[in-house]
Amino acid sequence: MGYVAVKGGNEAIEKACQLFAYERTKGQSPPLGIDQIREQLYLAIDRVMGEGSLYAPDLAALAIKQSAGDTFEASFMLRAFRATQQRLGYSLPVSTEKMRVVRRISSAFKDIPGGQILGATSDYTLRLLDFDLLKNDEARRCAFREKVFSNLPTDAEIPSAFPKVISILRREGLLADTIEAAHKESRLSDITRQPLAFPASRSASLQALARGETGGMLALAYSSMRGYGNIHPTLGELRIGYLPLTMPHPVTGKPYVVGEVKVTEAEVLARMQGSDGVPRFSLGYGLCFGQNELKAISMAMLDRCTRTEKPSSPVEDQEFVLYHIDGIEAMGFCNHWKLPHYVDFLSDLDRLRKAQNLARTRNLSENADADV
Amino acid sequence: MLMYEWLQKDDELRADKAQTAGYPFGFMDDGAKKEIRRSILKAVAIPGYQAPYGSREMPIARGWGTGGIQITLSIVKPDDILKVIDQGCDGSVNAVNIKKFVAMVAGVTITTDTTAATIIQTRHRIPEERMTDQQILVLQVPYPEALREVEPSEIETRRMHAEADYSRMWLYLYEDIVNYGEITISYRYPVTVNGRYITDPSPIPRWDVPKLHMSETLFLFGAGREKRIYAIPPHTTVAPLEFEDHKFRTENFSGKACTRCGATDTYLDEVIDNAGVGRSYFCSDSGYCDKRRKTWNR
Amino acid sequence: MDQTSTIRDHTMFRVILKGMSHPGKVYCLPVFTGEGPSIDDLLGCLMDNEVCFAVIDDRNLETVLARHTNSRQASSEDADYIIASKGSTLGKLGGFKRGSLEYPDTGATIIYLVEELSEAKGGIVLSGPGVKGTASLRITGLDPGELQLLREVNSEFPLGVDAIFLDRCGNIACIPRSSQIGVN
Repeated sequence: MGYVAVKGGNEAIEKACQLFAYERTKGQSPPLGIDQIREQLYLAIDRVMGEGSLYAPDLAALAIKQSAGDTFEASFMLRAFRATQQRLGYSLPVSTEKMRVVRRISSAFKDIPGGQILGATSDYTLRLLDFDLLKNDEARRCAFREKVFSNLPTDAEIPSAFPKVISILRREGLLADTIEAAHKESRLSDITRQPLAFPASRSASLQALARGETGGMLALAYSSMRGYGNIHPTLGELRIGYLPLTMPHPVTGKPYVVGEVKVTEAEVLARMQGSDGVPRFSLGYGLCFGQNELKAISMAMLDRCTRTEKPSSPVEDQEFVLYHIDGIEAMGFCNHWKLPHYVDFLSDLDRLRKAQNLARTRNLSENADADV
Repeated sequence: MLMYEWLQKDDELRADKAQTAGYPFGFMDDGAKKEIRRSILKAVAIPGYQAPYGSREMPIARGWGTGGIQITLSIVKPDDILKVIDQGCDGSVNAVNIKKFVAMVAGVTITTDTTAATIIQTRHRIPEERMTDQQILVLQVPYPEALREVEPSEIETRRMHAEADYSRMWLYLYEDIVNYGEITISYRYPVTVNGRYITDPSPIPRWDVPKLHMSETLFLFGAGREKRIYAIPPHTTVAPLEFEDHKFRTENFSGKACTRCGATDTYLDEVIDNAGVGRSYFCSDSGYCDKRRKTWNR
Repeated sequence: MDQTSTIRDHTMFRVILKGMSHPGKVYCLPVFTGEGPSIDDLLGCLMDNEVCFAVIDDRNLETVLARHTNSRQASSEDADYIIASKGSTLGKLGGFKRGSLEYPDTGATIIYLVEELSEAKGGIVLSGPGVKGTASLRITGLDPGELQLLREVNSEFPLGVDAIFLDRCGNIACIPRSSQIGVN
């Protein structure tokens, strides 16, 4: 029989990569523009930026195009690109009260200072396929845009800032101090530079969650919401908008705004016993790039769950959660099972055959004994 | 640049070409490499101990050798001669990807000859030809934690290593013997390094485990996804876990020989023919097999 | 960092790795400038702003190293890298970081600047991982009390510190904590 040519692997791989690119380009449709993906698939962009841990909408659009819509691959590409970029420094902390809000709601209160601003959301849409979208009707698009902006009140008051719901609770002594003295960090962790060690610091944990894969995090958070664990949450506030990115000036050291970043922030409240015996609300915090509400809410849940004093389910086990929510690591390892494992398998086969022989010999001698 | 474009470049890539492509020598930034070097030195100073490190993303997926690649890229010199193998084979998917990448960003010469290489990066095998103190073997590791089989929690396995509390591992092996008549672990056979740490030698077959003991060469183990580096220096004791009455045994190839080169003393791949009936055997170490074929007259 | 200095770091590190894997053996560091390999070249391939260091008995070297490597200065008890600029820790070795049982790798690395290193007979006898049988390492310019301090600080393996020796000619030798230090 023919032996698999040792040197043939090279060519096969080249062709496989070519074929992958070909699948995407073989059709009659015009190539997707980066602008089209960025504008019309903006939620996919937001998801990929968050999981890739790199805020770069154009690159995210390119990654989505190149990966033919596989968000795991696209996030991976962004992460790999990120690793090649030089680290210039760390931005200065910013309060999300400074957010230029585009959406802001609270489930904890019927009404809140500044109001419930629904913003752009699919939450209230009927999930009925719109067959009109099958046609690319430019006239219809224009008419729709005109309709949206017609009859708008010209004198609507838009507050420039919205107070945080949790600051109301804090003022009334209802919110527990999240950061106990023992856990104050003198230096923030940077998980891209140091490995996670357990128990992980809050900054390390939040970083890991912020770049986690949406589906994985949702599954874990869902398990908690359904009852695996003892957290009974309420969404204190969800806000989406643009935060200023401030760096210390390289010469003067003064704060210097270099741009803005769209983020989703979720704050989840759950009841807990304070150290002084007085019950309070504890806070779970979620923050991620772009508009990704499922992820931010899940993140807030997971933040709270993993700080449980006595974990009673996987979602409350910090090690379990933080090790398994990174999409790039999970997909890499899942995919690696497709690599050749024949040496390992053969080794296993050898063991199995040996064990089978022993088992059979044992059975035979037991039967022989029984016969006597 | 796309992976398939990298793959299309010819093998004679030099460091200057890598710079034109926009990547620094060794691909990663200096901070990443320094951290890896610090971890490597500590790993060598504490044989068998898993030193944690930050572990950067590579353009190759996690689970596909990023740990090994990061080590290689942190230690490589432009005049190195690199061999990369997967399951013993130079032409395998994983090996080809990796060597093209390293050649691209470090300008090294590629070889399939074990004796000519200065650095060998490998997945799941140690080459048949004995390596020297002028060479380094970099092993790709999917599961760095030997104790993971008996304990899923990292906090707990750290404690077990800290206190050399390995009773649960020994119990696991003992139960194997009770249930199956012998220790059934095939690859990833646990070993004690320098009489102190129980270490996972990576998914090499049992056949290769004895090569780690008192060798001339340095073994560096990289787990990218799990973010650990560990090492077995030369002239270090490496003892597979065994019992007095159930000694460690390698795989048995008696009566079998390589169809290509006739070797009876190498680890053999079993290949099933197209009819699904016949069995042939071939050296897993393809480079060694090639060499033997040249000198062996059929 | 430019291509040349990056490649220098790689070349430098390979020699250090050789030294640490073969305790007691003397290796020549690569020379880049006319003056010969220096302590900042050696540490330049390892240190950056993620680690901190202390220098014993040489203020000037502190400034040079801080600038060259961007590392932070710290007390010798907190430092990851300690440089004994005159072959002596002035008895302070016992206070250096030895790491923890869970993370022994956080133990310090100490670099002794000495006069001369050689593998001649009659030196310190080393055995253990990386050493074939025994090795003899002769060091001139090392404070005679240091070896005993090193034995003590490394007596509870895996806790300990790892030592690198650099002599005036640009040779290095290493004694990791895994080595047994005998007497000749």
